[in-house]
Amino acid sequence: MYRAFLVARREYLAYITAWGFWLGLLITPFALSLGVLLPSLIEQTQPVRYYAVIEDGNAFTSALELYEEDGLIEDARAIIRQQASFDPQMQEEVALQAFEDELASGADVVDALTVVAPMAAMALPAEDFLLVDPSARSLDDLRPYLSGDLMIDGPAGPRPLFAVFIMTGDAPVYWSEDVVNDSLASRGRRVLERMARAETFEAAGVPLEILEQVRLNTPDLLVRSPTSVSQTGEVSFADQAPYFIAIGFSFLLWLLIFSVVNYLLTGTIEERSNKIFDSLLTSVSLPQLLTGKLLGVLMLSLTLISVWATLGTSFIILAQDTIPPDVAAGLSQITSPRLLVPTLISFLLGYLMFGSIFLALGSLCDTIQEAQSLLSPVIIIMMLPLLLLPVAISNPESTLLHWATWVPLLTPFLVIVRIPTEPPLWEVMAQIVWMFSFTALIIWAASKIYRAGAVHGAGMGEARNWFMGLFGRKPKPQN
Amino acid sequence: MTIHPIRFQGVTKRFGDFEAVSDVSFEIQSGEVIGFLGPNGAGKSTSLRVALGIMAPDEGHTELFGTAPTLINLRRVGFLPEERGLYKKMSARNVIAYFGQLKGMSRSAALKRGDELLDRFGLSDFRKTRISRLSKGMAQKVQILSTFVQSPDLLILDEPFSGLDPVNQADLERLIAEENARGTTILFSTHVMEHAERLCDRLVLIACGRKMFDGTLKDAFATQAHILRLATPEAVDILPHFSDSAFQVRALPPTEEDADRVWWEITLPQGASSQDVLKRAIDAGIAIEGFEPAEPRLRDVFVSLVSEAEEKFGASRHV
Repeated sequence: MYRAFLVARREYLAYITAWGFWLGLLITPFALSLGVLLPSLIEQTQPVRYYAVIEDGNAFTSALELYEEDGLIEDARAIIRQQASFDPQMQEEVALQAFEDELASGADVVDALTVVAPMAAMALPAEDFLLVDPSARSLDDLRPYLSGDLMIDGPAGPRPLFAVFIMTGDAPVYWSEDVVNDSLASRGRRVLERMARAETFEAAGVPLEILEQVRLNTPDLLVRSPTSVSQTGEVSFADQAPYFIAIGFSFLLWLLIFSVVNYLLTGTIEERSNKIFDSLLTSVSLPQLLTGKLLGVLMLSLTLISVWATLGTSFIILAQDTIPPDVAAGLSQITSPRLLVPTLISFLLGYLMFGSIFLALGSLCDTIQEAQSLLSPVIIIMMLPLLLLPVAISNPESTLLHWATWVPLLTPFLVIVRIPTEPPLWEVMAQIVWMFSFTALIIWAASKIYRAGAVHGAGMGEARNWFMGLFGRKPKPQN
Repeated sequence: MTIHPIRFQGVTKRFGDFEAVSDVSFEIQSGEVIGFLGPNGAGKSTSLRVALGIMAPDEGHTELFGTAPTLINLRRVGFLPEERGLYKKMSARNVIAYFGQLKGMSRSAALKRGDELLDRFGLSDFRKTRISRLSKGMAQKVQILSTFVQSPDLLILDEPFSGLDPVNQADLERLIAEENARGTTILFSTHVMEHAERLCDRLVLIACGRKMFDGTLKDAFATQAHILRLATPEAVDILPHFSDSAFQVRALPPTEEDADRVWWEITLPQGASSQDVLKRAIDAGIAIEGFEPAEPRLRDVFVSLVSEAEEKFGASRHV
């Protein structure tokens, strides 16, 4: 075992002293944070886009403006509620009433919000679409603006026209060069629905005030769960946290394994291409060599985990005053043994599974280029858990997910995401035993391949012949 | 019972239908320097890998210090493989120390010994230099030193001189001689006969996977017919005077130094001596301007035995 430790230490020191390791270690949390913030950043940095309405009169335009103002008011109310959850001195009901009073006195949304919460107006979403006065009245005349050949003047300077609503024909039409972004068209649909509803009620002799009364009288649907952590059954982030944490763990596990197993591959290729195996094999046994290499890179991954965990904990400690209580309660479940124990077992077995595969592949290759052709199928398999994570988010109890958890190479990643759905204990235990068995099988097969590569010099040709042999094809002679 | 540092007993090793080593048996006595000779592809490296337990024989067995090769008795063995390589990102002293530790030394002792060896081989200025920054020859010297690090009782060196310049070859010869003087048994494979002639107590020659010779240099030369050389004036032809005998005579190509003489090479039949040649020449009235017995050359022994092996077994290695 001491020799395996020596091999492990050499492996560990070889990578831990490489600047590329530390670069990757520090870049990963940064890249992950960027990935989380990116959708919001993209939204906030979206340039203001102009649109126009061509209609007889201004019924649609007014309805559109009213709809946008209603949306802004709802956003402002949400901001007030959120701020009240942080600020013990702010009473939600009182603040909301003050906001409504300001609106009733004629203040616009931004001013009303500023009165209640001075800095909160900054959190209001920026206007993404601005209505401009069309300089032409027909589609043909507006086409150059829509295509960007001509610019239209507006509050944000000269810009192309993003879209135009043409309400003068038999049916309203939305024209835009951007066929992907549907948000403005959706907004138009909802406004038309509002208008149609109002007209229909009016035609039926129902006053519009009744409609508003209906809206005000509609009670909020309270969501409760018998498994909620609160006494009242109220659902909060603390109840949803296990799902998010499980998915986060699963993704981190994937990221971690994918980050470190590559070292095993490149290290083994180095030993093969530099003809080090024979020198090593008179000093250590093959199992000791394999164990040492796996152990060395495992220590490397534990270093990664430690640094990431330290960074994450430091961030949480620094930001604890700004974390809402229900989010804090949710985050505290990271240390729950119900999640942590299967995660640690999955990490260990998943690492050994994929690590052994990468070691075996490396022992057959003299160059990274050679390895790439063998790696492609493994990488595709490794991508599958990522494809299944969205399913786990939207439907954690899906049958697909249930069965996919039994696919050996996916088990380490998916067994974790199913924990919050509280599968029967026997099922989790069976999956862990299944993982153990399959990992043992993989290690056994990998050691055979490793022996063939390291001792007998088997390479790509032999791998190809073996693969062709599976399909009954005659192997090509080796040179 | 004598314990041999290495013993091969009927070792056969096949790769698929190719028999790389066929029924090889020999052993080495403690303190010997053995030249393990053979042409490329003869099965030398495979034999050594089997001896070290890197791969198992299909038939027969090998012993190291009286038992099958294990990591315990391999601690007493230093091995330089034919295909050279080291961890390119490690420094020279660390790589030597690493192999020393794998052989059971403490880290401090391995580092100390590594420094000593680097000093001895003129590499002390490169202790902390990464292997990737050393020249190919220097890196090879570091690898050779890493096989000496634990002061092994047995050194197995597979083609140790290949890739070294003449100065470093001489250094290595000196190092081998010093280690042998310390009591280390040494087995090295080579196809450069001069090294074997200078260093070896005994030779084992394999060709076509089979052991063709096992003995001392003197034994090796004894396998060859005796040859001598005779010089005559340019105009003289001695062939008619030896045509009725078992002597084989041929004229050697003329050289610039001996432009006015002809040198003849005469291979003596079994039982004949150089006096028989002289007597016959004098009786025939041949003017003798030079006479010298040809020094036996290991190269001739090598070529002769390899040719014999190829003739006998060359076609039968695929079973």
